[in-house]
Amino acid sequence: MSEWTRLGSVADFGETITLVELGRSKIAVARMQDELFAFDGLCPHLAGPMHRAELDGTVVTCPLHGWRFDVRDGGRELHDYRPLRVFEIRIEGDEVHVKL
Amino acid sequence: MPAVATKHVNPNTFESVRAFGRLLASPGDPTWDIELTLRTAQVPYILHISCSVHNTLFMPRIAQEILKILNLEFVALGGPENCCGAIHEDLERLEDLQHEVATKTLLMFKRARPKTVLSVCARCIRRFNTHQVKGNPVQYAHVADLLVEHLDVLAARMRPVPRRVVVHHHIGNAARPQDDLGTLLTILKAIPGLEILPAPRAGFRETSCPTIKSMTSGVGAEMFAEAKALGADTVVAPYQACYRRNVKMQLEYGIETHHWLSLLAMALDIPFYEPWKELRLLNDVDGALNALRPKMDALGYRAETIRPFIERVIYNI
Ligand code: FES
Repeated sequence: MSEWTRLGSVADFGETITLVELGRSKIAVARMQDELFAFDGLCPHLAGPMHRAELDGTVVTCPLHGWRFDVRDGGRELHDYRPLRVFEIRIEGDEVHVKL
Repeated sequence: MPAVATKHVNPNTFESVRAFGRLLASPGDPTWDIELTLRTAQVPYILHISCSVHNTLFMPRIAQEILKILNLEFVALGGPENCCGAIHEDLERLEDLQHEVATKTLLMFKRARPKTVLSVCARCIRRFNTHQVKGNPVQYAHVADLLVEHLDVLAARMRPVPRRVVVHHHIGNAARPQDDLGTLLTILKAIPGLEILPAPRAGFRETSCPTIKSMTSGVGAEMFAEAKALGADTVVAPYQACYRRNVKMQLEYGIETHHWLSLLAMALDIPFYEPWKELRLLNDVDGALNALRPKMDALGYRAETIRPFIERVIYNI
């Protein structure tokens, strides 16, 4: 069952990726093209560390084997491999919440 | 809140590997799986298609055809998804990930349980052997070592290759404990018609040509000048990196650079194509881009993406 969980304050997240650990979940958070995105901290290929990803626009590239995901496009992998999980987020005042 | 601010990384190298693997593929070149399939677990050999041969696919293609001649069952597995971690080793900002990358590939091989993983890339083999995972029964071998084992079968099928060759080589190559020069000469000597010329300037201590700074202007020129003086028509490259580095010398010295597998292919009547060499010998980045354009259009690549790859990977700019 999905639920909303607090990720942090808006000021906690900038244009580099921040890794947030919520229990056993790893969530990568970054501001891309003026919008905040939260996505799986583990790559859907072989669990590469997505907090080490390269950012280019809204495309994040896994550092292990270079799969590239567009977080604005639901995490679609640009070569049509498996997609990255992108989480819904909600900003209330200064607080950022993620739907897990 | 446990949070770790991190730096950006740029694994763009893989994009050029993938792009050239598609743009420079010729009909008959190998195709490969990137993940295990049922068949992978049933064959004794995996032919590893390393990142380093995506732009010279004729090398694994020839290896593949020879495996077929020898009736050795194999599957081709490769791509960046099965990287040995060399790319990470070379990029300072990714260096700490090299072991993780190598280990993931090795665990994949372990699950596949082939007898042997074969590669054309000496560096992949070295890395697979040094990053071993516990309890892994898989052997890692260079294609050349397997071919030497079966040389009598192959020699019986060879036709003459009338070429005067200088055998370029790197001695003391830490990438492989084996005697690469000895293996190479054993294979070349089995090819009828091939005249191997004694050429002292063809040997280098470094591990491969890209590691020698003066290769282009200095010592590489000396090797080709000597080859020319000896009346050679071919310089044989031991590694794919040497091949890529030296191909352009044909423009100045009129001497072809061939990878050793190509000579074997000529002897065994195996067709192969060298689009990378053709693009380099154009000596013109725009010309190379134009030559690739029909395939780029068909595969959906944009010139802005491919042009820097041509400059960096093919022209070393
Ligand atoms: S683990 Fe991310 S691309 Fe392989």
